Amino acid sequence: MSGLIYSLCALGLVMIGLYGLARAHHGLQQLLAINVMSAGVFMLLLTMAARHPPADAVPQALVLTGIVVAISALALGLALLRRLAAEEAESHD
Amino acid sequence: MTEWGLALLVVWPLLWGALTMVVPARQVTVAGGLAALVTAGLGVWAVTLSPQFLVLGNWSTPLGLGWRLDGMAQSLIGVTAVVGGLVSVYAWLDKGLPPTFWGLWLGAWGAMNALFLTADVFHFYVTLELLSVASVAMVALTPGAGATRAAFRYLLVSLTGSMLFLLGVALLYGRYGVLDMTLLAAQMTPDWPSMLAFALMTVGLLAKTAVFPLHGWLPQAHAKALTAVSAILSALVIKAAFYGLMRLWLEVFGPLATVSASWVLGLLASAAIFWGGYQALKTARLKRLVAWSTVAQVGMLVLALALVVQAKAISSVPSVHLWQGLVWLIAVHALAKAAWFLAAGTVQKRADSDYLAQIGFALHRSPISVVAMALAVISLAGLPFTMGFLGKWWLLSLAWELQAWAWLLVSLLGSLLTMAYGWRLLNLSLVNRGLPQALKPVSVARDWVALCLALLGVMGGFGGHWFWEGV
Amino acid sequence: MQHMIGWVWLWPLGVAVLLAWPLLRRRAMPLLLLALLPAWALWGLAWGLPDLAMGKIDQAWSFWLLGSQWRLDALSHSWLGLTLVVWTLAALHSLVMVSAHQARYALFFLLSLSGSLLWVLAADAVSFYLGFSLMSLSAWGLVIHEGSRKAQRAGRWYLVLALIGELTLFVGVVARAAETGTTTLSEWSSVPGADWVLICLWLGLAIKVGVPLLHVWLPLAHPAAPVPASAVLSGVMIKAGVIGWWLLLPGEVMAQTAWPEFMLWLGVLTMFYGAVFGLMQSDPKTLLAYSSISQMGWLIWGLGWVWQMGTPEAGMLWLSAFALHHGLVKGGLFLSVGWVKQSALMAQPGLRTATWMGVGVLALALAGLPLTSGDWVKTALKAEADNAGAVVPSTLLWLGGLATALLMVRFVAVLRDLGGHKPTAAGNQTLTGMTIGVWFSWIALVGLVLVWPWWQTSHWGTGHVWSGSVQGLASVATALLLVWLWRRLRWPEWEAPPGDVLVGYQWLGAHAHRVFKQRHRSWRARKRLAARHWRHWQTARLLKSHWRTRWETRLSQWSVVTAGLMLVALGLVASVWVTV
Repeated sequence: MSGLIYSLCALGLVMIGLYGLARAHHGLQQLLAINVMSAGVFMLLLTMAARHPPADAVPQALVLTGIVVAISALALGLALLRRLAAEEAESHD
Repeated sequence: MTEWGLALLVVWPLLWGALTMVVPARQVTVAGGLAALVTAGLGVWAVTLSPQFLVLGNWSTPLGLGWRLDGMAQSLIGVTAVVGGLVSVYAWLDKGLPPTFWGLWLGAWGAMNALFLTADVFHFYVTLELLSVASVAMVALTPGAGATRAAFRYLLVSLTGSMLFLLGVALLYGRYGVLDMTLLAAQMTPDWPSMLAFALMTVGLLAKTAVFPLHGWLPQAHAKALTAVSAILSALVIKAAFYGLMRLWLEVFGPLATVSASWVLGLLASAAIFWGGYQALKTARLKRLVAWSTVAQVGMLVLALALVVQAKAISSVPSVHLWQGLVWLIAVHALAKAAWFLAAGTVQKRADSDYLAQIGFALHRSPISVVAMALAVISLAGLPFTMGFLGKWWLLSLAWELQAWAWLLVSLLGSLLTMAYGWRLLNLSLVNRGLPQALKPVSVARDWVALCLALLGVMGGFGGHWFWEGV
Repeated sequence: MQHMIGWVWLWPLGVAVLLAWPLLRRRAMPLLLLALLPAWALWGLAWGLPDLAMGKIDQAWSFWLLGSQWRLDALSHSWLGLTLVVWTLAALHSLVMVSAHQARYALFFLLSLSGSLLWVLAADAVSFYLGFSLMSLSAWGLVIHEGSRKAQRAGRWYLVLALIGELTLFVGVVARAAETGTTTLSEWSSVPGADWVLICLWLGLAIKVGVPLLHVWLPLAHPAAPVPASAVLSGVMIKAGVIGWWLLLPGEVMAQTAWPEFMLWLGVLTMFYGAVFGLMQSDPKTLLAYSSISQMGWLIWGLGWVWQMGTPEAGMLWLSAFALHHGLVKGGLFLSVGWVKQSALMAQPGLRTATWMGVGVLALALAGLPLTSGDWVKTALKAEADNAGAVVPSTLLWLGGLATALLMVRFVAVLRDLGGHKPTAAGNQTLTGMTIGVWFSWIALVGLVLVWPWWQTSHWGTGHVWSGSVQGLASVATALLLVWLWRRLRWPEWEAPPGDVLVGYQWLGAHAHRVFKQRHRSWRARKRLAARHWRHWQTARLLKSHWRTRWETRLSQWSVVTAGLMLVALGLVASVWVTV
């Protein structure tokens, strides 16, 4: 039962992330929305791991890898945003 | 031995990609270029191997990773090796590329090789993400806010797509407890989690393949990127995501890929063909035109996939040459689009302008590039003497076998559109050539690289018979 | 011998590659002759071979495309002969008549030549299609060569119709290959096909033949090209359509269908259509182009009764003879326009007279004066048609011949207006030895036209050139009389724009465009009003741009992209759900 609740929460997080992505006005907001989405996905994976008593190690490994991947992509996004801000400031001067 | 060789196929470019970041700037081109050529050699070598399945580091599945070298993977690795090698030569000749290009390009190449080899859906996600990050960074190599904005947009679409894909992976793991593609395919049953995973993973990959209506990022990113980068993105990176679609629809989700699902793909593809073609017909800029043509051609590939799915679903149609035909179309498009982008970039550089109205004279003075573009266009349109002709022949006979008149008509109109927007360039170079103007000096060798790629696309017609026996 | 066939058409492509060498690019024209040598060798070698008389010489390349086959039999040997004579003369005339952008001209010439040789020798459908489209599409480069506004317009229409033809033909070829399970042409000829497949094949080729209403590109393109290229367009390329019909459609089973009768009447219609609009032209090359359409009528009509026969090959030999006759004469006539324009040549009284005599011979041969190839071939065709039981009354055919005769009288008159006035700029142009040499090749062609039927009759051992009928004489005489009367009575001379119904097409196109624009404009006005009403500034801003940009901007909005993602996903789930 708790597994179902967690799964639904995870899907809810993904939906919130998608909605945020659609409505965001700024790049930072969009990046954060994607982060919320990824949190949802990871939560789903962990729920899968904990369904049966001895916790499954595979999804945990997947989440760890996924987090590393997501962080690097997020870092690239932030770097791009900073550059964009700098370039736009330059063109406004 | 083979195992080490295949590992090298991935590790070598990744390692050198990292190393070029620390090599002194003056030697980067040499180091990166040589590393790229070795990677191309490794890729060609991989094509000659017999198909096999490898378990990396003796870790058994599900925790370990499986690599699979089958016909589909080999063909894609081979195409990447040939096109990537030639584009590397072009990049070597292009003095305007920043040194970081080589690190990113080698990284992307390693990611693509791993992506083609992997037999595990999660590993597929990781390689896809690695490839996206490298590609986005390559787009951002162009100075200026426009390119940065395009790169950021590309990153967002890519990330969203990956997240949806990963969500699908999580659902699949929850349902079946395995991640290996062949094991998944063996157990696949059409229930709700599988359907949801199917839809999410497909949509994620459609966004990365830039299929209408998720194509918005492509014309900006591909047109703004540096020439070599545009060629890599359009010819290869898009194909990696499409390869994922092929694996999912033809293999993993076999029982779910029904005729009605293929109709959804077909409709999206038709919209892409017309919308992309129409935009290419009307746009005022050279690289935009080529980029929009990619949107249309991706539509053609997806249409072919839809037809193949139908053929597989209807068992009365003999299922030979199904994925071969798709791979053939991929090769056609990779060669032609790389040639077209490289030639267009050379002309653009010479004219120092991207506007069609201002490049007439430069086109006139770059006959080799014009021939390359013309060959690329006729190959894309499927006119005679090219690889594209055989591809179109295969596509039309498949549509005929399936009695799919609508798709047949769409693919023909797509060809007509391709000719029409290709003709715009040819007409510019032959008839409306504009006033003489001062041109920037650009090495002729760069024109020749584009011509080589285009000629390979033509010569493919000679190699057709081993591929097409019995068609 | 066998192994040569494949190389005959690849050779011009190889020569085209030589153009990449800048030194050769400056002296490109002699390469055109070089490209023809292997084909001449093949033609000459095959001449006396018993294989040819008995049937064929075959060659197959299984490694090329879907596996290609070529053959040389009595029919293709005759087409090859025609192709070679006309292309060689064109190559020779290119030496003196084309001066601008020689390398580009040579490139398109060579590509087109290669395609032309390929379809002549093709024994499988893919090779035929390849050759046919290589020839058609490369000829676009010849049509636009002069670069004038007229040439550009002609090139545009040429390309549009050629591409439509290509694609229709391609669909037909693929469908027919799927239907019969083979691409070998000899196996196609005896298998009946689905109607729409045959229609696709027919339509794709009909554009090249210039069937009325599909002919609009022809009177524009043939005159727009440089003189030697026009000769090839009208002499050789136009025949590709008819020969394609013969090769691709199942000739042995056509007798049971309605096709033969349709072709008979279409042929007669084409004869008159071409002649009537041809008479309303004032440019000699346009007039000749219309005459070509009219002459194609004879071939269309001929194919009609050939399909009715039990053994169509026998009738096809006569049609080939007609094709040869028309190709030689029409090629010569187009070239003659170039010579009449050559003021330095026309300044020499002797050469001038000889040129006009040559024009006269060619015009009379086309008009069908007795003792010429025209009369001989037409009489033989009519006799064969009677044997086959064709339904068209012979009076109509005689009238068709009269129309041709009238057209030729008109042609000579128009040509005289063109070259009649005394040359003024003769001083600028000197007559070089080269020009004289090429001129002699044209005279040789005139000689060939005169001699060829005599040789052919003795070779085949069928009847005499003198047919004994006076129909040809009567039609030429009537034509002269009519023209004399027309001028005498000062009846009005009508003019029609080149491409006749093309004007109608353009009007329709422009009208449709206008209607579309109006509707579009009113839609925009409505939207703008609505936007103002709702003070929706973003929509209003977007409305200022073109709808193409506007929609793309909308599609790229994040909300739309996300909605698109979800919708596609939902669509997929739904589509799987309904079937599984």
